[in-house]
Amino acid sequence: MHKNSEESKDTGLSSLLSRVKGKNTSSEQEKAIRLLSEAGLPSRRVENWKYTDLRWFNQHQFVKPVPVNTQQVQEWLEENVFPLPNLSELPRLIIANGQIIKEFSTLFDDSNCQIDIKDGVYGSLGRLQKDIMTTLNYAIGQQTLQLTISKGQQAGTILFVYLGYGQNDGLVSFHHRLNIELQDHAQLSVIEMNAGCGEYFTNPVCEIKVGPRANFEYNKLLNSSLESYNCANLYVSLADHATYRQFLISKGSKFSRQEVYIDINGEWSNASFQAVQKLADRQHADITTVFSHLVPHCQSDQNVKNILTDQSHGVFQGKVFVHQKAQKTNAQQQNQALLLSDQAEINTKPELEIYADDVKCSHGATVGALDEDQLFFLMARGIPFHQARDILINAFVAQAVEDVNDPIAKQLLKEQLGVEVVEDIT
Amino acid sequence: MTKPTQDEALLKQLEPNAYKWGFETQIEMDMAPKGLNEDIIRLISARKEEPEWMLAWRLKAYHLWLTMTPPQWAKVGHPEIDFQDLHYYAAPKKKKGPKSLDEVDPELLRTYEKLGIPLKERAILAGVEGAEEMSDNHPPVAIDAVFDSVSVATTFKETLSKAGVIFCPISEAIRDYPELVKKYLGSVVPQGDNFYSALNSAVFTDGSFVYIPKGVRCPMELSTYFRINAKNTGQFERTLIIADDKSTVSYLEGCTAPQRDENQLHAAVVELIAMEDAFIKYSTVQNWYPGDKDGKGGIYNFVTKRAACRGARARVSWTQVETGSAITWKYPSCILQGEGSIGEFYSVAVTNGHQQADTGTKMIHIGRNTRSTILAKTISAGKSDSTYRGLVRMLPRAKDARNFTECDSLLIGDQCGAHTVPYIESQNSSVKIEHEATTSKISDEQLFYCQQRGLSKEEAIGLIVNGFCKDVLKELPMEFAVEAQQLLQISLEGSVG
Repeated sequence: MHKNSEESKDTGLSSLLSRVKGKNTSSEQEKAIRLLSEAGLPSRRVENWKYTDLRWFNQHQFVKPVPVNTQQVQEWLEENVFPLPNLSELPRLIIANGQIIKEFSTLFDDSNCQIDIKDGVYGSLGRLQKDIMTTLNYAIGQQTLQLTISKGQQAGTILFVYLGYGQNDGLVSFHHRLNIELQDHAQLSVIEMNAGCGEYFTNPVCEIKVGPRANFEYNKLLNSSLESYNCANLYVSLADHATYRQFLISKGSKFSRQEVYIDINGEWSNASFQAVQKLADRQHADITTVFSHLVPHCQSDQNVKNILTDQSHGVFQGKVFVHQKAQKTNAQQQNQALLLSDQAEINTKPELEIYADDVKCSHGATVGALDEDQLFFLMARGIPFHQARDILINAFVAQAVEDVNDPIAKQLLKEQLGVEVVEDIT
Repeated sequence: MTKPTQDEALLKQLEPNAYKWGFETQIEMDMAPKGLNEDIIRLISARKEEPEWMLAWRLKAYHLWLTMTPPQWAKVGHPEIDFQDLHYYAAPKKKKGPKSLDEVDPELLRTYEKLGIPLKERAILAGVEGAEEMSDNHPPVAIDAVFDSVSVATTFKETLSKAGVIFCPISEAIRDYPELVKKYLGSVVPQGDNFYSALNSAVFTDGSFVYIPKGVRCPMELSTYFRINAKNTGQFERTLIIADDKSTVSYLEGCTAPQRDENQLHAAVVELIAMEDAFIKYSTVQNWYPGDKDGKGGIYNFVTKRAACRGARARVSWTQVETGSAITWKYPSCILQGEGSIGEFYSVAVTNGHQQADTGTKMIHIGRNTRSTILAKTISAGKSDSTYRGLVRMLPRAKDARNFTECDSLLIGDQCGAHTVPYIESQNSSVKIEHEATTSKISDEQLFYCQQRGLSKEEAIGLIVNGFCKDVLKELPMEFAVEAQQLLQISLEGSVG
């Protein structure tokens, strides 16, 4: 739009960085920009990016978002949120094209949460040098949203909606920053929905500090436009006796990478991560996790399921790190992949790095097609092939969302997975 | 924490005990000057009386090597290696044809004695004429002994040649069977495969060559014995085993080195080729000097081992017991090309003191119906670190391929680390891959149970560790299985925790 001819030739990282060059920048931001211009983007030779290729980055010219049409946002909400009474009653925060849409965000009236909006990007958990997508967020991000749940507050469930709309002049990019802090004994459950249309790139970074004996549940639904790119980084720090539970369903995006870093800093805390990647066409989705057990007596468990059809490509890189001090750790990691097409590809790397001896750590990985015996069992009882197949796929994924505590979230996630919703008898 | 004082006492006991094979043989050596350049490669090639094509092959590898950098991805740490500070050729000076054991250089003889090689084989190794006809009660094992850079002797050549089996030092094979060597050398591990294989291809000095013709079952176990003796040398041996259609061979490899303060480099390349219905069993008991209790000295063992199952129903089985070396970097792999071919990997890796091991396997499934089994047992004690790193890759044509992987780690003491890094890649929906890994310590209940029945703590640990490794040890040939069990016991002596 406003670019002169020389600048418009810029593509990839340099077109992104040119957006912030020469502006008044904070020292963190300057450092991030310097790191990015020096190191560039990682290639597949970098161990952490072995299975995920960022070459698409340079094929695009990145542009700034233009203000979104609130009509569009309203239409989306009318279709996806308002018809569901449970969902529409929740305090919500709507962010479209990187902007908070205040007229639809009811979270500001909610007395349980304190919201602060600050200019610039702040954070304490991300590692600038190592996590390239966090560095990018620091470099380009404009503001930080800080959400605090004060001591003892039971904040219930809130809804976040991130919408993205593509633009014609290039690849529009959003770099949200959200920091959530739960103080002692606080409780919060978040449902996050990602949706949109057209081609765009989202690069959110979220930091969550769960205080002593606090309880946090994070249900994330990634249903972004099938032309979009998504690289999200999440950092969690747990204090003693804290509970963190995350459920992630990844269906949208042409390209997505979810990095999850969980640091267990307090004794007797508990972290759980359940994810389903359901991919089709030429989708590429990557989940990379690092669970760091730094203190004794903690538990963690990870469960990632992939269902891959067509030419989709699923990646899971999970790591459990157990520090020498973290005796009596109990860590479990499970990765399962169901390949439903001959062109689909799965790459998984479940990794254990253990320096303490009195621990119970295990991981398992399986890759395969549907079990023919099970199919036969169902078909022998008169169930047609396609239905039998669906029953088995349902059974495979249903388990992942079985443990969601929040009933509203549970229903939503089940619907999104196409799992039949059965009312709990109890 | 549970009884720290007892643990500490146990840890103290666990310090690496005296390395039995740490002696040095005082023997006249023929050495090339330090450093690596084209002239050294020409010198090695000339000493080995190699044909022109071999020199060209080496030089090509050398030029590739110059463009490469050492791999950084393994979880091992060591100071940078100065590749110019090494002797690339060292050979004991050999007198021609001694008539009896008395005429043999007594030092060389004593070395074999200390290494526990049977008398008859000792005589043959030292080149005593007519030694092969001497009789004793040992089961026959054909041995090729590699002392620093050269193969000093190969036993039972005649018996083997009657069966049509070629078993000789590779330098001899280059001269005598150039067609076979030309065809297969570098066909599994190309010169430029990785940094250390390129280095090996440029400067390799000796190793074994085995060819089993069609339909032959090798009449005895073949064995190579490697020893690094001279100071500041690197050992670069190259082994090439070809099993033609419907043949069977079992091959053993053992290694030791003297105790020194500096680190020494061992970068070998092993290539196995199995044709239709052939079976190669390759067993290693690796016991290089691991360094002293402060982590000083020891061998850097950077080895590339790879097998190609070229024909249908070919089978390759790698079995390894890794107890030595300061650093081990080794991934015996199988390329399963032939339809229905089978790859197996059985490994026990024990690290103690300051040892570091990054070892595992790669199973590349290309053909239909191929299957692989991986069984890796890792035991870490002292301040050591061990990593299992394995790759299972299913390519689109590998219909109905199958893999099963099990990695178990045992930690003894709280100063050590055990890591598992499996890579699983599948491009095929008809395959089945399973991977399991666990990490734990020796359970107090098991220890208590054994001790209550009158075993000392050390015996109890030995028993439990042997039980832990049993699935792998039972894959070893008989002669090695006993040795390996003792080796495990010695490596962990006093490491009870």
